[in-house]
Amino acid sequence: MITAFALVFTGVCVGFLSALLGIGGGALIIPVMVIVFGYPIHTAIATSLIVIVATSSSAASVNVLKGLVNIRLGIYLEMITAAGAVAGGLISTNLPEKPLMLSFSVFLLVMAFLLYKGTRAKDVMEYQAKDTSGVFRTKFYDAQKKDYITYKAKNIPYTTLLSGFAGLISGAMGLGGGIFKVPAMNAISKLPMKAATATSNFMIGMTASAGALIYFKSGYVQPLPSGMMVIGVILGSNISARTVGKIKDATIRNIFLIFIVFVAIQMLIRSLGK
Amino acid sequence: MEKVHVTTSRILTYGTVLSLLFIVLALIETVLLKSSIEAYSSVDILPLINGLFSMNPTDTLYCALLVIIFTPITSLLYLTFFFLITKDIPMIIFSFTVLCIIVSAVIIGLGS
Repeated sequence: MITAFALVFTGVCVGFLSALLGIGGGALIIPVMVIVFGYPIHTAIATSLIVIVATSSSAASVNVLKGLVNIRLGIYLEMITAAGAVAGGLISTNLPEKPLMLSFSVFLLVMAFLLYKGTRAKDVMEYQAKDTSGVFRTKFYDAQKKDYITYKAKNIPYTTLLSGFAGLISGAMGLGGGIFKVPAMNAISKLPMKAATATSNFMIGMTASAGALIYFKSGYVQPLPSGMMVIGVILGSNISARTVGKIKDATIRNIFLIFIVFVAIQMLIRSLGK
Repeated sequence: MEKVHVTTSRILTYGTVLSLLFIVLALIETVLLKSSIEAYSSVDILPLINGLFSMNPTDTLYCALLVIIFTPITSLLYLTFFFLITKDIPMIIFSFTVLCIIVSAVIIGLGS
């Protein structure tokens, strides 16, 4: 019973942070499930994938309605991301635990580096050209600027490549891959940050669902912890959506950065131990 | 707001809410029937649906997870249908390809 409540509480925290940072939350769920709750890494990954789908569906239902999601670009990029997720899921179930844990800790350090770089990124809107024709152009209403923002996605091949890699990581390690997709769409395709996170969030659900189905058949899904976490993340996402305006994005990112480095070192030590 | 956005949003909302309802139902069943929730070594859809109607809390909880997994896939199905109606050829190809990839995952993951 205590574990069930702890899982719901963890879900609330993960959902809160994921909604703030625009990621699936796998990077938070897996280490907590393995280190704090003692679940095997494959179970943690399976739970993580399901929780990511829940977070994505919950957040995307609001973002799509606001017009923040670039549906056309999202579906286009999803082609290669979903293929990568299936491949990643197949590779992962045949891998022993320690190498997977080692690769996950290395991946976390790469993520920490990307986040560190992300905090120093320029406002992408200054790069936006006046030309807004093309398949992946769209607009949304920016409540902060009180104006419609029209933009066009650029450098699509590079973003496509990174999205494929994000899909592979997602399937193999139970992550949403948002940490790769958001910087790619923002820095390479020049999407406004709000649109990039919302589109990534929309895609994450589809990518994670493909990977989650593989784990479902493999018997790695533990229904009780997954169910408890799903309740938690949906609650957390809602709380986050109500308070997001009161917290500085840079503050959250810095806290997240410290957390990721700490967990990566912990998992690195565990993977190298006997 | 375009109709496609409203409908996609509704599909995602209904999927999330339905999944939550099944989770709560599974917990109620566990308390009322004084049974426990155990993980299966492998899962097939049809026995799960049977278990849902026979008030098996484990099957109900697995169904909740399946509903949430299939929610984004359902929204993609709707979008593919929408692009077909509007004859948006590039998007029909993109969304259909994504569907094929996900269906291949379903065959691998849940194939009998």
